[in-house]
Order: sequence, then C-alpha cells, then structure tokens
Amino acid sequence: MIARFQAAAEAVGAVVRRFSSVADAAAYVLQISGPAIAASHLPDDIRRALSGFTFAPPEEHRNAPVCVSFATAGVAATGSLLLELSDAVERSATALPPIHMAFLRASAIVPDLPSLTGAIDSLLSSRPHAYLSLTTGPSRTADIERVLTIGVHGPKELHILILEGE
Amino acid sequence: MSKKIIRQKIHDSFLRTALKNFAAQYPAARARAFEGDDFESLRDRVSAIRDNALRDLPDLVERFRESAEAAGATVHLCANPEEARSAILGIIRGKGAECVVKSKSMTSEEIRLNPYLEKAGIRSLETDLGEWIIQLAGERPSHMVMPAIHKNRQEVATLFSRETGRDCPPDIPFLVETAREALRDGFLTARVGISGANVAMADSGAIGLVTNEGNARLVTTLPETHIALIGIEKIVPSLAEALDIISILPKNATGQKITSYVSLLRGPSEGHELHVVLLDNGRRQLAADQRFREALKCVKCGACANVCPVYEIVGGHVFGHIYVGGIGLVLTPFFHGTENARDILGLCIGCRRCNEVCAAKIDIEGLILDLRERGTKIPGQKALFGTLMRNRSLFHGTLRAAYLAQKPFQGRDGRIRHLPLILGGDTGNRSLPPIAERPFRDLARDREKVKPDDQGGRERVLFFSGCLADFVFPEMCRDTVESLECLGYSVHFPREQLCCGIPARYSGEVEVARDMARLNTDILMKEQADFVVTICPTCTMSLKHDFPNLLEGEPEHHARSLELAAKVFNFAELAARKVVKSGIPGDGEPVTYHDACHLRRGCGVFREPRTVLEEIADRTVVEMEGPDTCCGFGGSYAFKFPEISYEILKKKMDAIAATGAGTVAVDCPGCKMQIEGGLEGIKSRVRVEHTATLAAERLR
Repeated sequence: MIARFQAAAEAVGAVVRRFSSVADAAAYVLQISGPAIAASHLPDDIRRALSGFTFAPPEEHRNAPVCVSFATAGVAATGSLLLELSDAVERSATALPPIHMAFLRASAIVPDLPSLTGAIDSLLSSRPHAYLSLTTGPSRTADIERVLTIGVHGPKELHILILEGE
Repeated sequence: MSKKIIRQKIHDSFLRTALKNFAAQYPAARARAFEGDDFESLRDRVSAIRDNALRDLPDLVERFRESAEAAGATVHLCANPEEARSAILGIIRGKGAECVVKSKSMTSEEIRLNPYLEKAGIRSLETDLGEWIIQLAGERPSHMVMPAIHKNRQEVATLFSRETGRDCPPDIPFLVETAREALRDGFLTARVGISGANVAMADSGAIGLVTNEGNARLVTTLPETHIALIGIEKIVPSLAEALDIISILPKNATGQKITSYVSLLRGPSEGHELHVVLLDNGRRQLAADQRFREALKCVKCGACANVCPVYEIVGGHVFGHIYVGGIGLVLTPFFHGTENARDILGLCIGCRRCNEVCAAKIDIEGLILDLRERGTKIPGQKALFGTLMRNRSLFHGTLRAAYLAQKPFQGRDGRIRHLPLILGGDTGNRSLPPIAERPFRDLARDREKVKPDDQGGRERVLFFSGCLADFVFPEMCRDTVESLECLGYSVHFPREQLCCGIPARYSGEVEVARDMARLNTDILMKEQADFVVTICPTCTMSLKHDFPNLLEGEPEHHARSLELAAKVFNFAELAARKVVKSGIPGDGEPVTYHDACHLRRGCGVFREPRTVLEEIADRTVVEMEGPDTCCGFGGSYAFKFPEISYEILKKKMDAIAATGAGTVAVDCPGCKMQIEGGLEGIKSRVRVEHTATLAAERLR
C-alpha cells in the first residue's frame, strides 16, 4: 500500500521519501529548508524532532521558503493527503510558501477515497467549523495552451515524508 | 449565428490547433483517469444522486440553509441574478472593501458579477490563471473548465506586459510565475474573497471546491470574509454523494484522477465570516419541469464540449452563450432567455457524442431537439413539413419533379456541383448525388411483380428504406434486398411507407413527427413479418425509439409501436445473424469503416457491420483514427452550416486517407452522400459504399 501510494503521488509530481525515524525526516527537512519554517499544527513527536527550527509567525508565512504540515491520512489510489486545516492561520502556512513538506504516518494510508468517507465526515462535523484540504501533488495549471505548468498560486513542490516503523 | 463569426473562428488557426490538439489527447487521458473505475456505474450513481436531489430540491435548500447557519455561516437565498448581485455588493460594502479576490465560478459568470461590481466601484480580481487572462482581455470563458483555451502564449504575454508594465516574453513558465507574483498582493490585501462551489451538503452545511492552482484555498483563507456563490442545484444530501461527484468531475473534465486540491469547508474559520449566496434563477422551476429538469443534473465538467465535433471547429464563443458546450446550449434558454438561445440551438449536429461521455448521463442531444421544438421554429417550414410530408403522393411527387429540376445543375457524370443559391452558397467544395430517375419504390414494384416475396418457410422481412436511399440511392436499396435474400430471408417493400419523421422532429415540428409515427406504425404492423430492416440509422432510431416516445399519449398506437420497435433492425444486424463465424480474418481487399453516429451511439451497433464486412463481404477491415467521429452531415446541418460541416468532413477524409484503404464502408446513406461528395471534391479515388452493397457484390 505504501508503494502504491508512493507511485501515485510521484505520478502527479510529489517528492516522496520514506523514513524509519522522525529524526531522519527532520534532518531531511533541514537539508531542504534551512532552520526557518512555517508550520501548521504538528503532533508532539514531530514538533520535538523539529525543536531546532524557528517557526515563522503568521505575518511571515508569506516570506517563509518552506512549510511543514502533518497529514491525517493518505490515499493510495491517488497519492492524496488529507490535511485538517480548520484554523485559517495554519492553512495560510501551507498555502503561501513555495515548498510544502508534509509528514504522513505509513499506518494512516488507506486504499481509496471512499475508505475515508467516515473519517472526513467526523472531521467535518465534530467541531464547530472545519476546513479539510485533500492535497494531491503540487499546485498546477494548464491554462495557457494546455501546457502543464507546476506551481501557480500554491506550493511549487510537495514533499511527502512517510514515517514507517513506528 | 452570424456566418461572419463562424467563418472567423474557422479561420482562427490558433484556436483550431488548440482545440484539435485537445480533442486528440482528451479521450486517452480520460480513459487513463477512469482506469479501474466503471464509468457507467459511476455515472449511473451520479445521475441518480442528482435526480433524487432535484426531486427534493426545496427541502434540500432548506436543510442546507439550517445546517450552514448552525455552523455559523450567513445564508442568502436569492431568487434571481439581481438579488444575488446586490446581496454580494451589500456584504462587500459592509466590510468597507474596495477590492475582492475571486476564484473561478461559472455561477458568477451566469449573473455577470464582475461588470456589476466594477460599475459599483469595486475592483474584482480574478485569480484563476485562465479567468485572469480573459478578464484582462475583456472576454468571456470559451470553456467551462479551461476558460482561456482560445488564447495563445503571445496573446497572454501581451496582456501580462500591459498589466504589469514589464516586458513579458511568450514563455509559459515565465507567464505563470508572473501571474503568481502579480496576484499575490491581491490575496494578501483583499478583505473579501469570492468563490463558487462544486458541491454543497445539506446534512452538514459544508461545501466542496475542486481546484488545481491553489488560488481557491487562498481566496477562502486570507481575506476575513468569504462569500461562496452557489447554484441551488449543487446541493446533495451528504458527503457520500458529494464524494461521488468530486470523484467523477476531474476525470471527465481534464483526465485527472483528482485535482491538486479538494477543499471541504463547513462554517467560517475562527475570526472569519462566511456568507453563502444561494442562487435560484429559475432552477426550482426547472427542477419541477418533467422534461427539462435533467439539464440541472450537470456537474459542469465540460466533457460535452471536449468531445463535440462542432465545438472543436468553432470554440465556445460560438458554441454556447455563457455556459458552453452541449449542455450550454440546453441551459442558455433557461438562464439567459430564448433570445440568446435561438441562434445557438441550431449548431448541434446531433452526433450524440456528448451523451456518451456526460458525467450525469444527461440526454443532451434529446434536450436540444426538444428545445428546438419549444421555441425556435422557422416561419414557413410548417407548410413544408405539415402539408408535404404527411401526404405521400404529394411529397414523392415533389421529389420526382426535383429529378427534372436538377437537370441544369448536373455535371457530365450526373453529380451536382453547383446548387441554386437558396440551397447552398458554401457547398461548392462538395458535390451532391442527383435524385434518381427511378426511385427504389418503382424498382421494387417491378421486381415484386416477377418475384413475389412470400417464399415459404423463410423469415419475412419488411424493408423500410428511408427517403434518401429510396430517391437518391436506389441501388443501395436493391443491394440490401438482394443480400438479405441471398442470406435466406424473404423481403417485401411496403410501398405506402412514409418519411420516418426525423427531419420534422429535428426542425422542431413534433406534431408532424407524431403523425408520421402513427401512420408508419399502421403501415408496417398491417403486414405479417418477423423483422423490419432499415439501412438508414436515423430511421432505425426513429422507428425503435422515437415512435414509442411520440405515441406515448395514444395507448393503442403506443402498444403497437412497441411491438414494431422490437422487430426493427439495421441491415448489418440482420445480416450478421446469418454469419457462421469462420474465425478466419478476411483476407480480401482492405476496407475502412466509418461508424454512423446514430448507429453507433443511437442504436449501440458497431460490431455487426465489421462482422458483415469481414465474414460476408470478405474484406479486411482497417480501422481509421476516430471511426466513430461524425462525418459532418447531420441531415439538413450540411446545408445550414456548410462551412462547419465541411471542416468536420475534412478531418474524416484525412483519417480515411491515412488508412490507405481503397474503399470506405458506411451504414448510412447520409454519411455516404457527405463523404462521397467530399472525396469527389478533392478528386480522391476512394469508393464510399454501404455495407449492403459490399455484401451484395460478394453474395451475388
């Protein structure tokens, strides 16, 4: 299933890396980004692994080169990530920077979108307001002469860091 | 539709190349996107979801309103464009905003929101790349999903240079980066963002947005106020239905399994406001209309334009009004008035490719036909159809007189190259076959005098020839009868048979078509027979499908028309029944096969003709590129829009030539007339023959 997810995500232009520890994944982030990043909500273990980083305040999201986020689930059939970004500031962190790096636990990969119906439904209704982003590859357009061009208004690169072996 | 605009589009070489390239790559991309999915069952589900939702529409609207308000949104229910526009302006003014950012919304095009806001002094900035391009150009979208498909990189570079004050080279990545930089400030400073929605859910009050560029996420995130403008037909009961629509939409639209972003949002984020503007604009009334409600099942994927041979020639600025493509023709009279619809409804050639790909299984072609009947009759045609077609001897007498009248226009070989102006100023590049001196009905009478058809024990077949074959291609009729006889049938031609009624129906004269259905049913059911055979797919469709529909209100005739429909078959189907498959592929002279639209998509017949060619006519079938794309005939279409018709034909002739086959087989006298006329015009030596003729050549 991880391999299927990886193949599907790579087919739409995402970079997929598999890590056996959060620390290795954090080292990969550092390689790409340098120490300053924008971030949406992260689970404690990931936030700890990124403790050496400086997190950009909301007004600096527009200038941050890299954003780090955590995906609730992955969809193997399409290489999609389900991101819960109900807070507008967290959302802007993932929408403005040119590079988006998302952590995904291997155990959270499901075969297809219908398998997520229940999870999406409860995410949508279990809080007063909700915003879910199903993200598949980087931002893209083919609006000029149908030529596929990566990176319009959203991130130009999407890196998916799969955490295995937990 | 003005001929000048059509001609201008035909000669717009960029537009033509762009649409041709897209049309060429779309089918394969779409097929890849649906790999592992069963398209038919998925669209059956989407069709049912929409159908049920439309039946429940007032209730769904109410439920959605309650749920969305419970989640903290403000819902504005607007009956018409004016109400929606002023509600939106009110919200913007209430925030003291002077500039709004917009993501793509066809509904905002429907209510012409931008010009209204500009007039009120509000700057409305389109942020979808394609929408921004056409906003800068002062145009309207020429496709529902790819709004700027008609613009090339040079034009975009000029527009961007003018807007940014920098010199932009016609380099696509550079232009995309320019848009990113130029629009970024708008996202960061605008205090109001306006989006549409692809779907809305009644149970949770959530909405779904399907996008690729990421601009919709910014529009719905950075400004503190988000206005979502949504047509009420987008409401479905819950997430499960929404996901089915979200799943079919990008596959059918652009051949993507899923778009880069699918946003599902419910209520305003902390510190934000969400206004949902629900637009009716005739939707509730349309949803209550038995016949036309299905137009609202549309999910706005644009696939009907992607496969339309006419759209491919003229683009969306001709083939549509605000909504473009096949469904655009249907929606225009309801949303933008019959005035705007009158010209464009005639542009459909009736090939039914849109029906084949529609994500919601809408009978787009049927709706267009019925809309023609509702409001677009041409004065004078009533006399033609009303008096002439119902009266067999008068109609046939007129055709016989035409045989004499055409004489001055015939060339040495008998073909007609110059028609009197009234019939066709622009058909000069094609020749027409003449009306025959003796129609088949005369030949049949002579024939049955010497050879009565009841040859004991054989299955009896009634031959319904159709007018074109009867009067223009009598030899095609003779070949049909002889082939079937050689294959063991007994064939009779009922001489009272009338026109099938399709020309009347296509011209909007449904009462005349109903009379033809009733009269022909009586004539054909009076005889004892096992089968009724046709050699014109349009007649086949008419007898099989239209007669029962037309006669629905007349129980006795309806029942008989159903009995008749069960007996009607196309020539190739009856011939193929007698084939004992050799399993050995034909090794005879190569032939390529052109699928008639109404046979392939109207009757689902496409294997049988190939079987007949291989096994009976002993030919080798060499497939052409796009065997089932229209030849451009479309009945009277070739005379109403001769230039469009010829452009479609050229593509077909190129495909035929590329096979190298010396013969192209067809199962439709109309296709034969069109393709033969075109090939003759370019001095090609390729023969065009009905499958029955090729079978007869071998069987005789």
